[in-house]
Amino acid sequence: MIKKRNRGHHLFLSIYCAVVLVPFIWLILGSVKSKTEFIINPAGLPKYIAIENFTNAWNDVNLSQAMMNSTIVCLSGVFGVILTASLASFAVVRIRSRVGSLILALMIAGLMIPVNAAVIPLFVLASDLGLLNTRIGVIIPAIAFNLPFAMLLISAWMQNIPDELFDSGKVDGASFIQLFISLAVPLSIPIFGAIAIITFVNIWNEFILSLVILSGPDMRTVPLATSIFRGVYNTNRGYISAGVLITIIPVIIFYLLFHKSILSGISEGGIKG
Amino acid sequence: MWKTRRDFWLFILPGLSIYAVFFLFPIAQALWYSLYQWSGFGSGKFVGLDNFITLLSDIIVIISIKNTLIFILLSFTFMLPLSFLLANSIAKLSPSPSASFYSVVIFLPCIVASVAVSQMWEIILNRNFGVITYFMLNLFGTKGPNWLGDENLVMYTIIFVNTWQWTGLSMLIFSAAIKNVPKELYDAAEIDGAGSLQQMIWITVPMVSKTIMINMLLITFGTLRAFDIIFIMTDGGPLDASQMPSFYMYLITFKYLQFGPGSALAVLILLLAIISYVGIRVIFLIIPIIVSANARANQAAIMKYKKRLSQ
Repeated sequence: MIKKRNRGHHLFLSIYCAVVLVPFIWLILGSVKSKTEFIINPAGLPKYIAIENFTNAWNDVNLSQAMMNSTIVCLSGVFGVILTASLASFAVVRIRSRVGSLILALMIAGLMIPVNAAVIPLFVLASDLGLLNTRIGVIIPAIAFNLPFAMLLISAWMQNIPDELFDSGKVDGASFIQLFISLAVPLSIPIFGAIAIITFVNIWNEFILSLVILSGPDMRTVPLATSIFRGVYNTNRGYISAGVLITIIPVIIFYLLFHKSILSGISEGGIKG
Repeated sequence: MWKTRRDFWLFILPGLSIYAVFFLFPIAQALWYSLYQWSGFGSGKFVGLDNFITLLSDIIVIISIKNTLIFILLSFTFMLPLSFLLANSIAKLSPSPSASFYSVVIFLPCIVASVAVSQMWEIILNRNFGVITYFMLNLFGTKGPNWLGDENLVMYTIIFVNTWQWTGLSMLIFSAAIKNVPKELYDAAEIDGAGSLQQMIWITVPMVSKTIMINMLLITFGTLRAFDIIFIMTDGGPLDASQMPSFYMYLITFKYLQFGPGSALAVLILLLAIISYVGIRVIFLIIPIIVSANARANQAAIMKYKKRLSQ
């Protein structure tokens, strides 16, 4: 039962949700239309399902390779971000010092720097280090770009772990690294999860850095593959729709699985930032 | 205790060094490169501020800065009120399954790569094969506006698509802030007979003013980063009408191989970020001062009036 006073809110939100969803529905409908049917009937239901759009799109830009590349880059990036950000946050929070808070402020300040400004020097750096067209060349800068957000949330989380827990550990003679592994890490799993998911999505969608660093088709990430559909068969709109749709399905499934962590993590970051 | 210091640096260094070498150092290097004439290979020649002079006499740079301003201002005007109203409605319905359903749907476009969103909208808005053209033809017998091919229209189309994609992010941040507004304020207002519109204007908006600032900053930085959407939808065209700083930086650096001016443009983007950051912060420092001064003046006027009445 919808309460009378809430009717206006429901109406407004439903209309906006329709605005959000309709383009995706058109994309899905279009993706199964043949080249001619898309021209005659771009808006309605398809009469014939052109499933070959998907197989063609998948094979033409070698999407299995691109999915593989993106997965490797994302998983390594996420692992790197969580590892380095949790170590650094733990040190800053547990060993309080002026240097520590300065470093924390410096790292969080990265949230305010447009990363595009770093792309040209990163290209030069990657070329000097021989990292052009390698996954490492994308993974390490991606870790650097995602550290500020991770530091912001992880350090705030670790601040809230009561000191007494660590004091009793110290009395038992545990070293700093033991305290980290046996206390801080298990207690921080929820925030690690949220950061991991958000970082994964960020790196999965990242475009300009990959565009500059990765030139070969064998190294292509998913957004690079998506961007190619524009060029190949410009008039075959059904085929392009299918290509775009395949590249967004994994991230949408990921979102439907983890939307709770994503939404709460991002809104928390927004409030703290 | 001698170990504390060693532990401290041991834990901090992995993160700090990656951050310094692959984020801070490149930013500093961009400043350095911007003073050189250089094609990306071999050694460059020091030219002082020449690259900046070249940039500012380049009409495309001027267009891209103008586009950035339009982009930011229009996003403020449409995205902020829209996302606030959405968050406000969701807050009125929550906690309930329908409220979380709405948030999940509205945030959905933010999770999809900008590359894919831009591609999807290009398919919809395409002059010859798009759904919009099809509807226009059937309803009005004309193809209608050329959304991406008209130089006077293209920026507005891009700003629309960008707003469509990112309203969910602002909405989410507003939602979190609205959730933190104490319920008693609304109850008190209800007793005083304030309607829901009045409650929104006099309680919710002032209580989330810091969040309005955060959203303005996010929109500004997002605009300065706008690259994917231009790369996919327009390539900066038609006739450079949709050039944006990040895209033009990519173009001069990696297509024309002019690393000096490209880096100078990167520095310009940094400057724009700093200026807008300071600007927005200052505005939000000044507003409360004006508001409270105004309130004090009102108070004084009321007192004076009462005094006169009692005489």
